[in-house]
Parts: sequence; structure tokens; C-alpha cells
Amino acid sequence: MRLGLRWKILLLTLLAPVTLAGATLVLVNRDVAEHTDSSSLHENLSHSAAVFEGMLATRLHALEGGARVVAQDPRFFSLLMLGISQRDTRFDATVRGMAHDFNQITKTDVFEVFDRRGRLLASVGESKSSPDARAALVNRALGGEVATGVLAEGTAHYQAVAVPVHADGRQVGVLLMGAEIGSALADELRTQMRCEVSFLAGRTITGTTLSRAGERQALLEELNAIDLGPATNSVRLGLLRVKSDKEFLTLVRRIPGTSAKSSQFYVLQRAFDPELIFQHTMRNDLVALAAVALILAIATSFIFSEQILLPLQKLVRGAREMEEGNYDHPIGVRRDDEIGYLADQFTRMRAREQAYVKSLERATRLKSEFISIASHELRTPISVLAGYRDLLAEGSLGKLTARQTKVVESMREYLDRLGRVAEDAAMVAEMRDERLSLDRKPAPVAAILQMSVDSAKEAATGRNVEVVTKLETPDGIVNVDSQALVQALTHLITNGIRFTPDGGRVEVRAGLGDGRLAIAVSDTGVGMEPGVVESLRTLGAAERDAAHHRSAVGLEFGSGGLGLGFSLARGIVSAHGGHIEIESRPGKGSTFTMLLPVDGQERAEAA
Amino acid sequence: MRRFTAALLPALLLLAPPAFAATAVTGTLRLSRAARSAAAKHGGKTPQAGVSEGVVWLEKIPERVEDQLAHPDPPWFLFWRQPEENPPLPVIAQEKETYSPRVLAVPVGSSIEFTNPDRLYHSTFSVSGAKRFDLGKTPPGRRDTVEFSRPGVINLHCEIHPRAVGYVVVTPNHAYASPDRSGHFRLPKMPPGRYVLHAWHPDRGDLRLPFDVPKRGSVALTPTFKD
Repeated sequence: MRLGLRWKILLLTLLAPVTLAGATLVLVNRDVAEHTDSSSLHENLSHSAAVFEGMLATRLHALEGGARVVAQDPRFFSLLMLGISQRDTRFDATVRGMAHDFNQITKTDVFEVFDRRGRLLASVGESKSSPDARAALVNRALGGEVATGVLAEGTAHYQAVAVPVHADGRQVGVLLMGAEIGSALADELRTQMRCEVSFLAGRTITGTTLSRAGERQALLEELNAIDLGPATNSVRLGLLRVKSDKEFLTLVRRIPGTSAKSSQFYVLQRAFDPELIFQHTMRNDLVALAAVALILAIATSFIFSEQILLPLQKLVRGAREMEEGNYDHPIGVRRDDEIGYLADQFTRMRAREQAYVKSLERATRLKSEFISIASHELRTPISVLAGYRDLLAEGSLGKLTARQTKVVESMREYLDRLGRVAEDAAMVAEMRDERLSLDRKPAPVAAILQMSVDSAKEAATGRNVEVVTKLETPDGIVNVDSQALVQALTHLITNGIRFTPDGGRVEVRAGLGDGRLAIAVSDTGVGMEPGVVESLRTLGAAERDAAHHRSAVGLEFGSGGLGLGFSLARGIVSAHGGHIEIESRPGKGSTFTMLLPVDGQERAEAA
Repeated sequence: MRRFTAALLPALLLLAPPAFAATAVTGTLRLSRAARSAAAKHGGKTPQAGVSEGVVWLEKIPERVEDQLAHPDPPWFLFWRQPEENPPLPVIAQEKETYSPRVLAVPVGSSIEFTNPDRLYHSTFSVSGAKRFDLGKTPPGRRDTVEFSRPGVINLHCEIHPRAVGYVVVTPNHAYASPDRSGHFRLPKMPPGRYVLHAWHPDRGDLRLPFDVPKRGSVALTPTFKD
């Protein structure tokens, strides 16, 4: 496929930005995809888990610190110091009031006060612990140590710390404080870590940030499928796809500080959507950018190419017009750059060309006119000469001697030849002036061939060249100007004889086929150099050196004629709508093949 | 002088009401059984750390005796002396983040003066059933008087200094005593009868010991806290 200059420029100028845009798109897309792939999110989840456990540790630490401060406050432990005998009837209420006051400050979910024997004196938090859940912690605290852990209260977890209360050198009770691991913590964590957080007691969700029932349900179903036995500390789940639009990466871990027996876990879920949205936005932006860049690139390259192309196209149009003979088409390119220079040069060259062509045309016309006039002018004197010679031959002007008769007879031969030359020249002139009219009539191919060969043989008297005819289709009849065609074929055959040394052979073959008549004349003669063949093909005549022209009456080997023969034959064949093909090799001979279109109907009639 | 008194004693005994036919109650407070056995080895003279912070008293004594103890007649040879109208109050001072003394025993109805001779702020409050009070923040030099009208052990706390803990033991009567460093104590003489000795120590708690005061002879008790 051939591309115009405009498309080449467009392609070349677009190649770089398009490649760049494409590469950017691919690279950024890949980077974004890498950034958002699940492994980095898993890392993120693990990091979140670490942060969460850090938060829990910090919270527990704060809880413990708070509990220690409270336990050391005289307002707090002074009540616990009271022995049975020191208490009044309002003792319990006083303890509750005191605990309440302290919890107003600490704001813990569980705030319980025990006496030195572990009996509950007051529980003032929003939640209460159950004796079973707290027993271990409280007993350790009664033993004098600070005990921390997680209270599992069926459907809730509490980070808890039990602190022994000492006063005046002895332990007077235990303070138990607990902070719920629940929705509030989950919300806080979610704000910080962009994770959905759920807490599990067994397979019950005790607190979660998952807002939709569907998501909670999906999580529970997922959890039912995995083993949350005592040996399980951390389970990483794959992609959890919630029905329609959300995907989660899920990490299940045991809440630190809980015993292996109690199934207390927390679940971190990282939704994919922020990354996906980021990726989509990024991609869309990139595509939009690429589109804008492409449009800009197209526009600029279009303008760029037009800048170059417009004047060039004007030049091209001017050249085309010139080809058709219009040398005056305005170019209309006025620029100071190289193209302007080119246009100026083109215009100047065109003017010179025009002058040259005009002079050539004039010369050709003059030549043609000369030949035409000359042939006409020659015919009359030739006729007169022929008339006188006939008179001489008949003896009307007196009896001739035998020698005179021989001369007169020789004169007839030369006169005939002169007449033929004049005829040929007239015909060539007619063809040059396109004045040749064909007289088409159906004629048998065999007759045409025979007439031509006879005529040629007659001219070649005295030459020992064998002329052979071969008819591929013996009964072919064609609708042609047979007289003109015979003339043309005769010329080809005589040329063949002329350039074939004695003992050689000229073969004439004719065939009808594919709606064409082909007549080939092959000789075993001297052949032609490729340059000669080329000039025959283009000019219709062989360039010859006039100084070495050797004329002859007959068809002596190597003699030259006027050079009209081939020209004439070609003109006749062209008038029939055909052409002549030439094959030649120096020293081996030449083949001239006339190819004429013939009407199929004529052949049908002939058949 | 002593001889003179001894000569007068029989005469006084005759004149005195039957209450005076009484027996002194003495004893040694032991903080643990181990302390007791150790003391037995060394003839009861072994010092016991912190035992002097204990208080012993009799839970119930005849009113007559109590009256005598609350308003002791001046000795006859000082008959011209009138009882003091405002005897100086016992004082508990807050010094160096402690109460001084740490334990103070007073009979019911007594008042105590709380002073702050320190250079720091202090406070004193109590949540004990026998006496609830709160002196609030007490600046240096402050003196407060608190009356204790119900018997019982009252814990004193300083809001500012958690380690400062003091005790006021309000005894139901004047029959009380504080042991010395070896745990020895001596209670007022009591007429014969059945009594209950109550011992209390800040670190050991309460101890009750019933005993009889015979018509003749003396009473020596060894109240011992359980381990």
C-alpha cells in the first residue's frame, strides 16, 4: 500500500507521543496494580494488626496505670481499710458512691471493688463482670500481684486489670477495672487504620464496624468454614467477596491476653474498593490525558504536514497540468523558504520546457508536412516518368535496341521502388497527422500471410533466405484493413530478410486466440543491440548514422531502407488498436510480433 | 512520805467504798504466738516491734468505777486543788507524712486536737463508722479539734499523703492502756467480777479475752493475736 506524504508525516509525528503515552499508561497501570495487589494489602493488614495489638497494649497499660492511681488514693482505700466493726450502716452505699466518683474520672466499662477476701463490694461500671470470668484475675490480685487479662463475658470482651489495694502496709482489697473491646474501639481502629474491625466471642460478633448485615453474614459464613480451635492464633483468609460490590481481605487473630480455651478473636478486614477506585480514577485520567495528547498531536502534525504539503500539492498539480500540456496553471506558492525556492525554480523550468516542447512540436510538424508534401510532389513526376518509360518500352518512341530495352526494363524496377517509397512516406505522413482511415473487411488470415510473403519474396529476388509460414489457425478470418495489414507485414518480413544472411530463414507464424490475432516474424539474422530495441520501442525507428547509410535496390543483406518500414508497420497495427512486441538478441536474430485485437463475432462467422 | 501513806492505807481502805476493794489488771500483749514463745524464753522482757501501738481496754466496767476513773478525786492531801476546767487536749500532729502519734487512745467523749506543724499542706479525714469527719486541706499551723463521742477505732487518712495513716481508738471507758515496748500494760484496778479484755493493734486487728477478777490476788493476762 502506498502512503501519501501527509500520512507519512502524520504517522511519524504521532509515533513518538503515542508510544510515550502508551508506555506511560502501561507503566503507571502496572505500578498502580502492584501497589494495590493483595500482597501489599496483606502486609497492610498485618501492620494494622500490629497497630491494633499495640493499641490494646497501650490501653491496657493506661488501664493499669489508672487502676494503680485509684488504688493508691486515700479516698479510695480508706473505705477498704475499714474492718467490719468500723463500718456503719451506710457502708455499702458509701463504697458505691466512692467507686462511682472514681469511675467518673476513669470512665471504664467495668469498675468493681472487692474487699480483702475477694467479696464484691461495689460494681459501678456500665458493665459487670461475672464471677467465673473474673475469678482468675481477682485471685491473682488477692495474692498481691497486678493481674491483667481479657474478660470474656459471653458476648463481650473486656481488657481488664485487677490491682491489689494496699494501705498502711497491708492489702485491704482489690480493684478490678475493665475496658470493653467493642464497637467504640473498633470505630477508633477503623478511623486510624482504614480497616473494618470485628470482634468475635466464639462465632458471635460482639462488635463490628461492618455496617451492612450482608457483610456481617458473609464474614460469619467465612468463619464457619475455618478452624478456630485452641491452636489457632492467626488465620489469614483470602478474598472475601460480599455479594455485590465489595471485596475484603480478611485477617483473623486471637485477641492478645486471652486464653487459648476461650475463642476470642478479632477480625481485620481491608476493603479493596479505595484502591480500586484509585486505580480506576488513575486509569481514566491517564486515558483522558492520552486522548487529549493524541488529539493535540494529530492537530499539530496535521498543521505541520499542511504547512509542507500545501505548496507541494500546488507544485504537483502544476506538474500534472504540465503533463497534460497546460503550462500556464498558476502555482501560487509565495514563500521565502526552500519550498518557495523550489516553486520558483519549477516555474522557470516549466517555462523553459514549454519553449522547448513548442519548438519540438514545430519541428515535427514541419518534418511531417515536408514528408507529406514531398511524397505528393514525388508521385506526379514518378507517374510521368513511368508513362515515358512505358512509351519507351512499347516502342512508341522508336524501336529500342536490345541493350536499351534492358535499361528501360531496369528503369521500371527502380520506378516501382521509388513509387513504393513515396507511397510509404505519404502513409507515414497520414499516420502522423492521424489521417489514416482503415477500410476494414473480413479477410482470411492465410491470404494476408500469403500475400505478404509473396510480396516480400518478390522484393527479395536474388537472396537465398528461406521464408516459412506457419498457420496455427488455418481457417481464421479477421475483420481488418487487409491491404494495410499486408503492407505492414511485408515490411516486417522484408526487414527480416534484409538482416538475415543468405542461408538463413525467416519464419512467419500466425494464430488467433483470446480475441487477438498474433503474427510473429522471426529471423535467424544479426539481431539488434538492446539500445536499438529500446529506441524502436519508444521512437518507432532505429537511430542510424546517415553518413554510413547504404542503400540498395533489392534486399541486400545489411542494407538499410528509408527507415519507414517499422514505423509504418507500427502505425498500421496501432490504427487497428494493437501493438508490436520486439524480442532480439545480437547475433541470434529477432522476433517481431504483431498483436491485434479482433472481433470474436467475425471468428464465429468464419467458423 | 511512802511510809506515811502506807500507814494511812488501812484507815483509807476502811473509809473507802467497796469499790476500792479491787485488783490491778496487768498483762503482756503478744502480737503472735511466736512472739509469745520467744518472750517465754527470755523472761518476758523481749521487745516486740510495734506492740506499743496496740491498745487494750475493758469492754464493760461498772459505772461507779467509770465515774471514779473519769473524774478522779484529787488526792486528799491536795484537796484544795480544783479539777482543771480545761485540761490540755491530746494532740495528733501531722509531720513528715505521718501521724504522730500513729495510734492515740482516748475514752469516749474526748476531743483531740489535730495540728499541722509541718511546712506542707495536709488533710485529715475519716470514713470510719465511729466518727466520720473531714478537716479538708489543712495549711501549716492549723489546729482543729474533733470530739469523739462514739467508741470504736477510727482510721485517719491524709488525702495528700496516702502513706500517712493514723488511728484513734475511742474506748468505751477510761479502763484502757497502751503497752510498753515489751507489750506490758497495766489497767486500772477493777472490782472482782467477769470482764472482757479487748486488745487492738493496727496491724493485727481485734482480740477479745474474757477473764475474771478475783477478790484476792492479782490478774496477769497474756492476750495473744493469732498468727
